[in-house]
Amino acid sequence: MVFSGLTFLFLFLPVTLILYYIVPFRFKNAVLMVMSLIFYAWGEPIYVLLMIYSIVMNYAVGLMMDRESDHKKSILVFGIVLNLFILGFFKYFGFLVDNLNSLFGLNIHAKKLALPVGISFYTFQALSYIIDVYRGKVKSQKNIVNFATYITMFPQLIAGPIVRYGDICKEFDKRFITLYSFGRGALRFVFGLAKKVLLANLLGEMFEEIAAYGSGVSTVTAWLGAICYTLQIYFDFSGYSDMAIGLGRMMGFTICENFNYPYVSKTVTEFWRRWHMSLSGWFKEYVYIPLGGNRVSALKHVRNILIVWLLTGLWHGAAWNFVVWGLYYAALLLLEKYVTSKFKLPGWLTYIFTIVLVIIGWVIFSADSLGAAGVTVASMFGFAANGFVDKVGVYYLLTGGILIVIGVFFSMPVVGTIQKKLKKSMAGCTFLYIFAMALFVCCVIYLVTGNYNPFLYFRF
Amino acid sequence: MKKIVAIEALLVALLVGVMFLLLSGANVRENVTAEEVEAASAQFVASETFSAKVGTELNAKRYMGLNVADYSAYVYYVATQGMDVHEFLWVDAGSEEGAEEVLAVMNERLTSQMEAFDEGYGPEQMALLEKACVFSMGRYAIYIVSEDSEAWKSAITDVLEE
Amino acid sequence: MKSKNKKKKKNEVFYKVFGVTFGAVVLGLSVFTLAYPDSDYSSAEKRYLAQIPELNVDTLADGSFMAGLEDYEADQFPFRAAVMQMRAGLDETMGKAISQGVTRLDGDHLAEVFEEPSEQAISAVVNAVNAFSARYPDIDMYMLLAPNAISVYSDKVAGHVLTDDQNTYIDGIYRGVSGAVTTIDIREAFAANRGAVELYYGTDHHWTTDGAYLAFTYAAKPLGISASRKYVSGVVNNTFSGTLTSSSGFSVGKLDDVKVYLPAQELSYTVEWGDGLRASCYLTEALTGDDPYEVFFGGNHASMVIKCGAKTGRSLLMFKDSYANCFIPFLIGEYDSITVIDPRYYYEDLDMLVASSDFTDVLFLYNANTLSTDNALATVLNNEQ
Repeated sequence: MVFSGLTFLFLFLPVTLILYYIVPFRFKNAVLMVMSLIFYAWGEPIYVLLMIYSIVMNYAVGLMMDRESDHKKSILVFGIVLNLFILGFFKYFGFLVDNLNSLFGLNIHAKKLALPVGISFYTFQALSYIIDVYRGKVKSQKNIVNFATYITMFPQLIAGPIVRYGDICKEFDKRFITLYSFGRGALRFVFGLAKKVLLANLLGEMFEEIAAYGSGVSTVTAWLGAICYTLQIYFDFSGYSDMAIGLGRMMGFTICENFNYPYVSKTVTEFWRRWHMSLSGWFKEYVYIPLGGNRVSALKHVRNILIVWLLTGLWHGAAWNFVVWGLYYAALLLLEKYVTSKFKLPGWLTYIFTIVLVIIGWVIFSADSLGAAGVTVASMFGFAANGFVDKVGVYYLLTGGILIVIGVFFSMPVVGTIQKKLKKSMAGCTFLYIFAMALFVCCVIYLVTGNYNPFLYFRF
Repeated sequence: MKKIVAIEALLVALLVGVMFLLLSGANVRENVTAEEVEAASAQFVASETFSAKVGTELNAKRYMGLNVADYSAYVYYVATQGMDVHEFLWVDAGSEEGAEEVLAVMNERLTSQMEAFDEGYGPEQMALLEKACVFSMGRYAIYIVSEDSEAWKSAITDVLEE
Repeated sequence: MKSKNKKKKKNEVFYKVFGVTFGAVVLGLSVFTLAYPDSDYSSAEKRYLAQIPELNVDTLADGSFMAGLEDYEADQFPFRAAVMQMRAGLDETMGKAISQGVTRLDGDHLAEVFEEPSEQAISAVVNAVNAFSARYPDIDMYMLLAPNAISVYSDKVAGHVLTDDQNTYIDGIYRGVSGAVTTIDIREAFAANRGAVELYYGTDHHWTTDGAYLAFTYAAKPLGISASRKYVSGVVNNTFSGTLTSSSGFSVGKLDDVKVYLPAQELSYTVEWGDGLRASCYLTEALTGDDPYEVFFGGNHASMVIKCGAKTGRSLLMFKDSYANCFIPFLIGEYDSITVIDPRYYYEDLDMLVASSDFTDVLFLYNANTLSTDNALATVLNNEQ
């Protein structure tokens, strides 16, 4: 099930919220757990079994570490191995087999395995739990319903943010569910929904149409396509995070922020402090810092960065273009740390470089193959098959220009500032209220009439 | 310590069990015959609403755009007149790749049928085409346009699975 | 301090009010969509609407129930037609120029954009026509490939809209078949009359009866028939909203008129299609239905036969798409019998038909848009039995 769908909005959400609010506090977690399992099973009727197994296994591992603290380490290793095995098998088996086949000329016939939705997210959440229990940062959760609720909570189950157990465990026992928090959550949810349905989906449609031209594009067309995807993935993913945070708040939970206007970054380093913060935070906490982070020799530091970014790339998908994408950023980050930071460059210059590099990164990320990515990048920088501009480029410029400008506007921090200013006055509040409800109505109109509703991060 | 090993062993066994459950049940037989498919389809073919008749190789070439003679086995029913979209085709393409190729042809047929009846030319036909079941299983490809397409698909799947 | 508390209160009120509104709207819409009666068929979209999907172990296991439920909710949403109009309005405001292959010419007229087909597709048609003609050297063959509004009114199309040139396509087809058939080119006639005559419907992809009649008057000479019969024309339906509006969702200022031309002097003939023999090619029930264009012969059929006692000694075989439907009435009386085949629905043996009839003429009557995406004509002509 997706948040941006009629079944969720007008069937699942009202039923879940009503049940959740009606029952006394001690049953709320159970209600949330059951509804979340239904939510997950709706999209994965068979693979829900795997997630249930993951819950049981990680719950047991947590308890074991508490009871037999002498053997904590071996139990942790056991837990990590099982979690990574599940993730690795269902996500990377086909990729591994394909590469073995092409490397060694074998012909192993791998059955096409379906990638269970959200497996990267819930596995990483489970790993963060058992590692933190091992470190003593948190106590293991004795109540399996509470633990299951942590793993399955439908707001962040499918697409994050990746919630660390320590950040949320207290709220299982005590949280505030008020009309005020419901209203705040609802507003956040509506804005997230609008980002997804009105911006991401439409930008995505335009991107798909442009992508269909393949290599037969002009420079303008290639740039338009790349910009569309850059905006689409931001609004798709941050919109989904907004909805997750909003839904969490409606139920009294505080879910961490995941995006902080990443496209305003002046350096690539800054970009990764603003994009998908819960993932980069996870890798920092559980891979980078244990490896020594940057408090080691330069050589080891380089190694650490390469490892983390190789994994980050791989996490996004079982394909070589994701690995290249990850290593691309590793190279850029290392360049910034060891080379360009020595120079004093004006902010606007580094901003232009950063945003162009980020756009190129998305071209690599979104392409069907490394070759296709290369062709697109070449087209963007003067080697286009159809010259600088052609009829197709003009068409998309004129029919999609408004949408792109709106998209760029809403990706800037100025929208946050404007929102704050509006809330200061009665007139401003009224405007915001009407605007938000109008957005919601538009979203419903588009959901009823549109058939195009992809979710880019669904492969994770 | 013994308790830990026991629990760990149990967890691994549970994982194996879950994986077995998830990965099995999708095995396709290699030796399905046309007679079996005909038998499974009999009740749907005999239904009052299904107005198609047994089709020949030439029919398949003309309407489906497929040379069924190239493949080891097939079962084909096609309507006798053009305004009728009822149709059924099962092909043993010999391999998964072959089945994918046949599936592509079948999908093209479905698309061009939809185009012929789109835009109000034939809403009843469109409704039937919308619930068509066109799919492949292992080395077999199947095309079903009928009021009972879902049930028919179930019946065929039962025959094709182990 | 006091102002800070007041500010928090303001926001507090704002959020609480928003929360209540949002909750009410979601709950209200959920209940409303549940209570709203389901419809079977949408006349605006001319299709059957999704119903509640079957619920059983299989449909749950493969997810088809879930997908079907989502379709059901979208199709059965209250006031769906109005919602579609709002969507189209929003789209056009944002600059959308093409929707489902349809673009706007002006406030009252829409048109289908044209996409040039592949060389392969063109030669398939050309070769099939040439081969067919070679098989029957004694029959005179003609082809009339009509342009569409997108071509005749190309100056009204917004400059940036992506559409190909129909003229190169029509020229290409005509060049290919010129040895085998007599080509009838009405493009100049249409260009000359594009201001004076409403050649195409604004809401539908067909030409109007006026446009068909104009084409007929120019085609009569090459076909070797008379165009002197007098007709009386009249509007039989003035609320026609055709395929272009229903598929694109774009709105128009006024609905179209459907005209019918009746011979001033009564003509006696019979029409046979499907199940029965009729005395008129007009199906008046269609005028009050969804698609008034179906007044002409009740729409498309695999084959029809029109017989009249004109004693002209000529018998015509026509291959057509739906453009011909309002053109054929002008041919009645010029031939003893007219056999009309729509290749998309024709499953019979063509050569057997030709052998058992005594056709003197064959006419291919298509519009460029339909022929460019058609593969049925070649299949039927090649007649691999």
